[in-house]
Amino acid sequence: MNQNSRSRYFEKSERNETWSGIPVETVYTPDDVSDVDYAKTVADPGQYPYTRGIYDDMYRGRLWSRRQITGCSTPKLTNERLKYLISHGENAINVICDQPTQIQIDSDHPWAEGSVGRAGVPVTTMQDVWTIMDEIPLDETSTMLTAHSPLTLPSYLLLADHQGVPYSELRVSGVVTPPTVSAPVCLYGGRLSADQQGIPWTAVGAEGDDILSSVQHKRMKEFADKLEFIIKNCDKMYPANFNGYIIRETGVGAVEEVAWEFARAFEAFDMLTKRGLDIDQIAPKVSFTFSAMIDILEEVVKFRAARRVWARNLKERFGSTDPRSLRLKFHVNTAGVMMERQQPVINIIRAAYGALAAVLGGTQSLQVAGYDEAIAIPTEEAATIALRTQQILAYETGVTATADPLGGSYFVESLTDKMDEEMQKVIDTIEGMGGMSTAVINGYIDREMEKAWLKVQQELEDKKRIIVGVNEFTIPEDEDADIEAYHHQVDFDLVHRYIEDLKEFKRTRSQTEAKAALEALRHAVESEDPEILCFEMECCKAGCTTGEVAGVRRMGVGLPYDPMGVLEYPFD
Amino acid sequence: MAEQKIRVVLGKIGLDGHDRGIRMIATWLSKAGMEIVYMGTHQTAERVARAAVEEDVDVIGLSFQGADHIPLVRMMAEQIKANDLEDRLLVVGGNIPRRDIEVLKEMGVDGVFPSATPMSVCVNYIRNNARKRRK
Repeated sequence: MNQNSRSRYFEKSERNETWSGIPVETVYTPDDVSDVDYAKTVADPGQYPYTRGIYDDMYRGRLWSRRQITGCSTPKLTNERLKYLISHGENAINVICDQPTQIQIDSDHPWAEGSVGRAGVPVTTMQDVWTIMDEIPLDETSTMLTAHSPLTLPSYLLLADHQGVPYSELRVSGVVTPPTVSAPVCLYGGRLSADQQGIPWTAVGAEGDDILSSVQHKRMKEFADKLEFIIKNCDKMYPANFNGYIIRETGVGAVEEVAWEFARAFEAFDMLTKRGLDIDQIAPKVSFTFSAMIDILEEVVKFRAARRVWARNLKERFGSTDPRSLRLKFHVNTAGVMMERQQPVINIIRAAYGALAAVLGGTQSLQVAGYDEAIAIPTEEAATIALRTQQILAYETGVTATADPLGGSYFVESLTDKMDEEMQKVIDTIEGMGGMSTAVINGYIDREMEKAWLKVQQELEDKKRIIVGVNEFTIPEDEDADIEAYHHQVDFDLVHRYIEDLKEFKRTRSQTEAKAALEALRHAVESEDPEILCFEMECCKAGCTTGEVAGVRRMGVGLPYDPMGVLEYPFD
Repeated sequence: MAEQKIRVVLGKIGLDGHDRGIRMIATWLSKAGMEIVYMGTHQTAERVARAAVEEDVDVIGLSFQGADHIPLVRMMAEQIKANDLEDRLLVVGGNIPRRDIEVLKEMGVDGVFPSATPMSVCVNYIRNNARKRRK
C-alpha cells in the first residue's frame, strides 16, 4: 500500500495539452488576451459573431431541450419508453433505428437476421412511425427523427394530416439528410451506404467516383426540392441536421469535429445556392449535432469558437445578412466514446461533465449518454439517470442563470481564438481539395481519422492518457459490475412477432396498389420530379416498406435494388 | 530458417459498420509481425470461412459493436465446422457484455476481448495461441 500512497502524495498534473492536443500553459494572464477585440470577435450574447451565445438571454429565455436518445426492440416498446421519459420531464425526443433500418433494408431481409431491434428500433412501415409517435403531441414535442428510413418524413407528415395538425406547427429536425458524402460513411453503415442514401460503395467499383457524383447530383436536387417544400410549409422544422458528433466519435479532435462538418455544410450550401436558392432561405433551417467530451474547458471553447467560425463564414463567404442564418444552432450528445465498459456506474460522472460542458457552451438541446452506453442502447434505469443528470444541471446547479459564464476568462478567450484559427485552417484545407466529398473520396478524411485513433490508442497503451478503471485504478474483471438489465433488454419473442407481422402485412396488403406506388416513385426519381416527397407519401399509404422505397429510390438513380445484392425487385 | 509468420484473417460480419476496433487491431497485429488478411465490414460468415481456407490462416478474428455478436458468431461457428477449420484459433473482440463471454466460448470462441482491452493483451494472446491446435 505505502509505496503507492507515498508516491501519490507527491503526484502532479502531467497535462500540458487539451484532449485534442492543443498546448496549454500553466497560467493565463491579461497578456494572453491583450489583442482580443471584444466588440469585433467576442461581443455580447445575441450579437454577431455570437461567440458568447446565439441569444441575449440564453437559458433565461428558454432552457435547452432535454432530449434522450431512445430506441427499443419494437415501435410499441419505443413509444412506451418515450412516454415514460416525457412523464418524467423530458420535453424533446430523439429516436434511433436498428442496424437494418439504418442500412435501409427490411426486418425480414436475410441480412437482418440477428440485428432487428438490437441497437435501436426497427422502422419498416408507416405504421411503425405512427406507433412510435402514438399519443405524443406533434406540435408540442421537438422531435429528432434522423432520416434512416425514407419513410420517416412522409409517414410523419401523413400522421400530422391524420391528426389534423398543420405542417406549420410541426417541430422536427433531421428529417432530410444532406446528400454530400460524409465522414459518417466510415462509421454508421460503413462504406456500404454513402450517407444513408443507400449508395453501395462495394457495388460501384472502379467507376465509383462517377456513379457517386451522378447519384450525388440527383440526391442534391431532391434534397433541395424537399428543403423548399419544408421552407414553404413547415415553419418550425429544422429539416437538415449536420452531424459532427459521429465524426468526433471516430477519435478525432474538437477542431476536426466542427471543421469537417462545417465543410460539409458549406459544400451543400454551394450546390444549393447555385440552384438559385438564397442562403438566407437555407441556413436558418440548418442545425448541427455535436459531441461533448470529457475535457470540459476545451469543449466549452469548441462551442464558442464554432459559433464564431460559423457566423463569420456565413457572413463573409456566403453574404448572409439574416441573424437566423448567422446563429449556429446545435444539439449535443455527451460523447458515447468516453463511456467505458469497466466500472460502468462511474460513467454517470463522465456524462455529467460532458453535459456541464454543453450547457456552459450554450447548447440548444442535449442528450446525456446512459451509463451503459459502452454496451447498449440505454436501459430504462440508465435513461432515467441521464435525464435526471440534465434536470440537476437545469434546476439545481445555477449554471442557467447567466449567459456564457466563462466568457472573459483569460484562458477561455485565448483558447477560443486559437481554436477558431485551427478550425478555419482545416476548412480551408478541405475546400482547397474541392470540398468535403472530395476529401472523403480521396481518402484524406479516412487517413486523418486513422492517424487520430492510432495516436490515442498508443497513448492509452503507454498510459500517457489515463482513463479511470480502464488503464489505471482497475479492478479484476470478475469483481466488476455487469449491467444486468442489458440482458433482459431485447425481448426476442416480441422481435420475432414483429418480423412475422411484417411478413403477414406484406402478404395481405394490396399488391397492385403497392406496385403502382413504387413504380410511380421510381419514375419520379428517374425524371427528377420536384415532388418526390408526394410519391413517397403515396408509397406509405399503399403499405410499401423501408426496403422497397429505398430500393426503388436506388433503382431510380441507376443503382441496384438491394444494397446487399441478394434480393430482386419484387414487382418486376 | 525464420519461423513462418502467423496469419490472421480479420473481418466484421453483418450490417454494422463500426470498424475502428478491427482496423486498430489490424495495425497492432501487423506491427507485431503477423500477416493480416483484412476483409473489412459487411462480410458473411461464409466469406470469412472461405478466405480462411484460401489464405491458410491460423487465426480468425471478428469484431462486433451492434449487439448482434451471438447470432453472428453462431453462423461463424457453423461455417468453421462445415469448412473443417476447427484447428484455427477463433477470437472475438468489441462490444461484448461480460455474461456473453461464456456463451461465446461455448460456441467455440477461444479468446474474447471486450472493448478497451489493451492491444498488448490481444497481441500476446494471439502470438501465444495462434497455432496451438493447428493440424
